[in-house]
Amino acid sequence: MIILLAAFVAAAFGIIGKDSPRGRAVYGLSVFAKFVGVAFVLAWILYFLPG
Amino acid sequence: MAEDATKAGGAAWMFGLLSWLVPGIGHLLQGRWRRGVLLGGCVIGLFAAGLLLGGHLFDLTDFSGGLLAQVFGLFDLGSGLLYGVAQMLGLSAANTSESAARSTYEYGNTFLMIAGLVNYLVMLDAFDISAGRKN
Repeated sequence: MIILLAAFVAAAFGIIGKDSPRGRAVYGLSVFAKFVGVAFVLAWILYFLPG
Repeated sequence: MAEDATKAGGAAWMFGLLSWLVPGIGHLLQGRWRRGVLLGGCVIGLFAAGLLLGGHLFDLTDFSGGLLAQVFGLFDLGSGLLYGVAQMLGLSAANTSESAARSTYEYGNTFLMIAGLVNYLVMLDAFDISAGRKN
């Protein structure tokens, strides 16, 4: 689910945020990686926190 | 910034408003076909996924959910006509404990809110392009 959300948001951010095709691709991929990376780290932190 | 906004013509405001109502149309009307289709597709895709996951569209006029629900309603409202049509047709899940018990309920809510927030950015982008601040 987070992959789908990150893909849509990264695509929109890439298109809006940069003007050149290469800039868009790099920025979009970086937003995607950050989304997924932060979600992964937060998920493991929450896993170890007592419920 | 305020000075820039007053310099922007009526067309920029119109494209911004239209872009809020129908995601991507502000770009399409300015001849930015690819940009309009991709941005509109992202917003519509997020919104459709939110509905399919059983998300709830928060109502700005419903004060029973507290202040946070009002803020969520403001996020949802960003989807423009998608929000209005889905509310009228009752396409989103009701805000009941049965709906909330579904494992995808919160995912659906998140997708719907992000769709609205992304469309606010799309709206500003259409405005900026028309005002000549962006290519």
